[in-house]
Amino acid sequence: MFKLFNYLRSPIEKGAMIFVVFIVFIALMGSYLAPHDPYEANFKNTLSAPSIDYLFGTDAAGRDVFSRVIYGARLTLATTLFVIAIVAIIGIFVGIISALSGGVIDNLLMRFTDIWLGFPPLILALGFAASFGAGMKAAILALIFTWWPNYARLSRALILETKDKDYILSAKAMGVPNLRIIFSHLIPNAFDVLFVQISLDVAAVILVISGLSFIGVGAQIPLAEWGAMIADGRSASKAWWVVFFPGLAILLTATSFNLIGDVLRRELDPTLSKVKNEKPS
Amino acid sequence: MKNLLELNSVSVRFSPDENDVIDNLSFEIKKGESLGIAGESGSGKTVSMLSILGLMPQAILNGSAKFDGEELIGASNVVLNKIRGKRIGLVLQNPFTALDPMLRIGDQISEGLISEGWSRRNAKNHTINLLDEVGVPSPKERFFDYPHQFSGGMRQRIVIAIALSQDPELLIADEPTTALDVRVQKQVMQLIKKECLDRGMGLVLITHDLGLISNYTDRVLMMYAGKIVEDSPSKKMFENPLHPYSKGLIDCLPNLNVDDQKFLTTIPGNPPQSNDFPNGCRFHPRCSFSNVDCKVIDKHPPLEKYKWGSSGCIHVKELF
Repeated sequence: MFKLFNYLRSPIEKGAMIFVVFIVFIALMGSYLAPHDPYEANFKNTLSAPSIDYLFGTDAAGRDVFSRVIYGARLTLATTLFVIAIVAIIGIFVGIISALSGGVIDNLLMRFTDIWLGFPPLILALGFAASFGAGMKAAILALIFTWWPNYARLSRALILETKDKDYILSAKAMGVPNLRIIFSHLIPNAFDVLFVQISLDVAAVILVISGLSFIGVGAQIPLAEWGAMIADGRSASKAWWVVFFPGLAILLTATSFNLIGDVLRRELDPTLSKVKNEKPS
Repeated sequence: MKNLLELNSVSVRFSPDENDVIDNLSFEIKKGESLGIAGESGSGKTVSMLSILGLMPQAILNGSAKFDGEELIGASNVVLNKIRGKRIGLVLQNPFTALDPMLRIGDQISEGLISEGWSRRNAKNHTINLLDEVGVPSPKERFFDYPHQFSGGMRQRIVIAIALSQDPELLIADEPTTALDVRVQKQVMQLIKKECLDRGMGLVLITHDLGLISNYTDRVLMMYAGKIVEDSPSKKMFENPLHPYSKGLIDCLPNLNVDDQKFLTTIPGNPPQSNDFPNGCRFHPRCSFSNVDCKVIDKHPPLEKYKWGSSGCIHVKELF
């Protein structure tokens, strides 16, 4: 953990790393940290300014914004990780099949991928929302359907590059079965690039989910979701805290994950020298 | 002695409407024999050995290649996987690319054993003994190191350990020393030779270094443009080659004698590509012995027994 800090060059990167650790901690421990129930409405105390008791103030229904931001961290991170995990698994699976089979199957899979790549997530989310109601389900489905093609294309390119390497030939010459070659050689060698893509996509998915919730396609109030909270707070023009704190949470989280993604890209970039701690032999 | 590997008129092409890159290749390797395959780049040395093992997916093969009585050409991957690694080991040319940079070398060596069904513990012990045997110092610690932590010579030892891990009966070494410096070349070749003798293992040494052929093999096949042009015992080939091409290659070897002021001889021209093989003998445009006869014979002259070996040249008598 502390070794990781050696790779962070500027105070901004260190700050981003600290924030990522912090927000993950908040997401995990949220229910113990939140002072109030995030869904408990109190109509006697609506739109009250930040105070000792209500650190970030209260919203139009008198719910504690501080607790809602804390709960929102868990919701946002869990959804994002879920979406990325599904998307990466589907994409890598399609990419590997495409790269290894080649010919007609490769062509069919890649054209199929291109078709999905053409769908904007927003339009698809609107479609899903129209057909079975707006909610997190619509946002998540829209994201999964539109995001996997990126991973399919990326992993196909990576596998194509790796599959003709000498060490793959060597493994085949050893009689290692194909499935084992995929898991012990092809995927590990593609993983550094895929991992950078994943860490950069975390920020992008957070933004898209919040954005969809903001325009009313994704999470619905009273669900404690940052985008939905901002949308909810727009009507109360004088109560800046209802919009400001969830907005700040989105900004800091997305920026931090993006910065960490950049750090990972810099450190794992295959074009940069990997021989940093070579032993003499 | 029994034939370990027997090739019978094997032809290889890379696309149905192209010429054969390997044309009617026939030879056999006896158990424990060490055979050198020599020739210029592009003469089909590597292609012939890799394609019969099914390691060149785009190659179209014809003919028959039997390993210990079992047909390799057209065999399924399942059948081939029982032979690859377990009965035929392969050492690749470049140790810098033949090891997976993301995998600990111990895991790479034991990979073949584990996919054969060995337990992790047994495979690890076997691997550590193997590392010791091929001369990697402190094998217990280095089991956990990654390839980039080794020098070129050490890496080639590891590649050899991988090839030996399943105790094959035949070792195919594809230019095992080309990427190494001269001092390390000798160590690596001596290691290969020692392992072959200790295990009674056959060796196919693919190389363009005639020095290695003379020192480490019993028999040599000279290949030119996808054809075998000479098949002789190695020592005899250097005393008196049976083909003008072999003679040409031997004359190309640099001489360290400083008084000898003559320029290094070369064979004029370049080897032909598979899409424009010359009529008649494929070597005749570059051959100093060629005459009208070499062009009119409608096929490349077949190998014929002559004295101690076989030659694919109609002028073989003029070489004496």
